[in-house]
Amino acid sequence: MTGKVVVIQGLVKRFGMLEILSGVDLEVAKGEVVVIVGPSGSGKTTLLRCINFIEEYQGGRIHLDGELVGYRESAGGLVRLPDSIVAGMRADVGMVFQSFNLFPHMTALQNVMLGLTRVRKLTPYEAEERATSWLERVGLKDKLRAYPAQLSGGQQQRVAIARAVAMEPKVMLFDETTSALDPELVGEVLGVMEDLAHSGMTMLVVTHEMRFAREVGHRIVFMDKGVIVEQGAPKQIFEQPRSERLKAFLGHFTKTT
Amino acid sequence: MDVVITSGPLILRGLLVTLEVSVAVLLLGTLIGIAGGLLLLYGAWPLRLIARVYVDTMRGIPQLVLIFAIFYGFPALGLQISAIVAGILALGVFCGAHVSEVIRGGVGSIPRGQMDAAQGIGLKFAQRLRYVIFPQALGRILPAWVNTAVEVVKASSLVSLVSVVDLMMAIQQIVGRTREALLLYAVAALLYFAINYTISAIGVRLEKRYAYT
Repeated sequence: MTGKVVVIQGLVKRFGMLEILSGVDLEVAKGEVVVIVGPSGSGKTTLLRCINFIEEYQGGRIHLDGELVGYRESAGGLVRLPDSIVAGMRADVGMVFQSFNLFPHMTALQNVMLGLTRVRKLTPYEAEERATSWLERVGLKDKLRAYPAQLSGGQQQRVAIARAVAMEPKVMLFDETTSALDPELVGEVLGVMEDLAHSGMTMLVVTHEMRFAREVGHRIVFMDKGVIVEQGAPKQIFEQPRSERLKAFLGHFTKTT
Repeated sequence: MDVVITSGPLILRGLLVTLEVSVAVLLLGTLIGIAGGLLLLYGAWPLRLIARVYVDTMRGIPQLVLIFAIFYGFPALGLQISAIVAGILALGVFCGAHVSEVIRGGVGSIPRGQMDAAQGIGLKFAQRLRYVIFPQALGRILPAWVNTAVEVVKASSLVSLVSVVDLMMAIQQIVGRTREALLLYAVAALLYFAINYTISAIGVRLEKRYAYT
């Protein structure tokens, strides 16, 4: 497991009788940008939500930097860890959501500072300094004191990225971060993500932006019906897809774009 | 009018008792309500079930029955309890059931994504509630909580029936002596109204302050 930030083995996730993930194996190396694509309902989002344990999982293992996520091993199987310990693990996983989920009662700066002061235990001064520098880096220098309602979707999503990355996580998870945006705002968010990728951040990106996947991704993972069907370098996936399912999936994009 | 002036001290003492009972009931009820509401939302199922049964039962019983049950029932169990404490307990338990629902509704109406995002940056459960969920829920909880507070002040007059000398009882005693029923009950009505109008006015100001969305 050396050099691997995320190691997922045989991951199974069920909601009641419905199986969403049916045995997913995936490893992500330090600094690697893995892009997950696939039709809706294929389990991409659920996979990300299991990695930072917003969702529990029923089978398999997820290791983050060598540590089992959410559970501890015991003789009878897996035992769920208490919330306070899980919270500490989540702090090392940055997550950006489709619907931004900024805290509406806080300014952009306060949104980024909350985790820094309450989880990372920085002093307010240090937290403000770090939050400000990240907000500047995502191009929001003049929006520090703005509330989410005063920001465009693209700006809100960039605050959300700053909020996650300021925690200095071991891996960043991006869950369809541009799907809720007007087309003209997509570029500014993808730009920030590309900047992060080039800076060496380990990233797992669920997206429908095939251009981004191809140009920024180091590896493409194609999921369908709760399993990984095919994975490989972007060139291989896009130019020589092997499985029929991937061919059909990529066909939709050449038709519409 | 002379009656009102000469009985002034007695009315005032009654008014203070009414305020005392109301504040104590609201404090007790709000504490119970926060616990109850959180159990309804986040409790493991046995606890959730207990909270649900408590809330539904208490909301279906007249306050007076609760007051009598505690005031006359506890001594029978060997627990000596003063009239005013019995009244506060009974109304507090009743108020707690209502506030539980108010909290459940307000906190439950905050979008799921807020909890997800709060988890995402590694906040612990209590921190998620304190810094993310409660500040947003407050604006939605306040209107219903103010309603409950107004109901509590009105219901506090029931403690006069276990011989607590609150505003209601004080007025009744004076009416008994002076026969000035219309005037004195008008004074009582005005005082109850004044308390509740003040609560509502404060509530409106707080609501504006905590309205984010």
